[in-house]
Amino acid sequence: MITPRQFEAARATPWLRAAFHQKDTVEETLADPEVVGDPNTTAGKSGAANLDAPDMLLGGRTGVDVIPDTPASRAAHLDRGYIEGPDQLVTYPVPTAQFLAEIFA
Amino acid sequence: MITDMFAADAVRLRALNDDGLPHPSTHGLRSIAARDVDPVSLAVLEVLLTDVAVEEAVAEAVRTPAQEAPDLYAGPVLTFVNAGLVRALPAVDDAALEILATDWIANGELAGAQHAAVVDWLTAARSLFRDAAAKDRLICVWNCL
Repeated sequence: MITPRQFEAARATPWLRAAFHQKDTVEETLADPEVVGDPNTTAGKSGAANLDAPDMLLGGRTGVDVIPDTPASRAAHLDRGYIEGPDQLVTYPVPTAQFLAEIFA
Repeated sequence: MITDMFAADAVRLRALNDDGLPHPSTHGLRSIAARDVDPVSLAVLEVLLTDVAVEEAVAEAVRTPAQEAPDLYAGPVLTFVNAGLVRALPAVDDAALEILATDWIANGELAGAQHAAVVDWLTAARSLFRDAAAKDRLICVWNCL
């Protein structure tokens, strides 16, 4: 969950809406019953030795990131040491600015 | 969100910006790699260390002076770490850093992060800020979804 401060900042600052929508999307993915019920999948932050952890771990080793389906995000995440290929990226469609404005109204 | 923090002087920062904001490492700039240390999280950290009001700290932290129309779906967004935080963190000793990490996590923006990981980030940031002050460099964050 994003905090009230993050919500308020996104309401006031349009470029931040994508950031906190992303955070919510990752958390919704981690809360999905299929993910929760899969003993092979864990949240990346749990037990991570540093703050640069993938969103999810498969089998405790293989990182998976949840990203918007954009060239910039694909390239950035493929450059992280824990992402070795595109099959470790779960993408979601880019929301419209209007949709984000309604979320953070 | 990827939130990698680095120090750069104005000349190198302009070169990075002119090049379309690739990852700072492509310009030889070392960064502290992190996820979700967003501008609001950094503003809260400043509030924990100074007497600045949270609204003021957030308003400063979300500015993007290098970009007129920042769009995280189009590419990275560059933000600057507030000067008050850059001044305050280097004065925090190791024992206080442990407490600071606890307080920062408790505020909620870093929910789920491990205490040791936050202490490591704070220790690295303190070192980066000290070095940057000595060399008159700006502290920046490369934000990318």
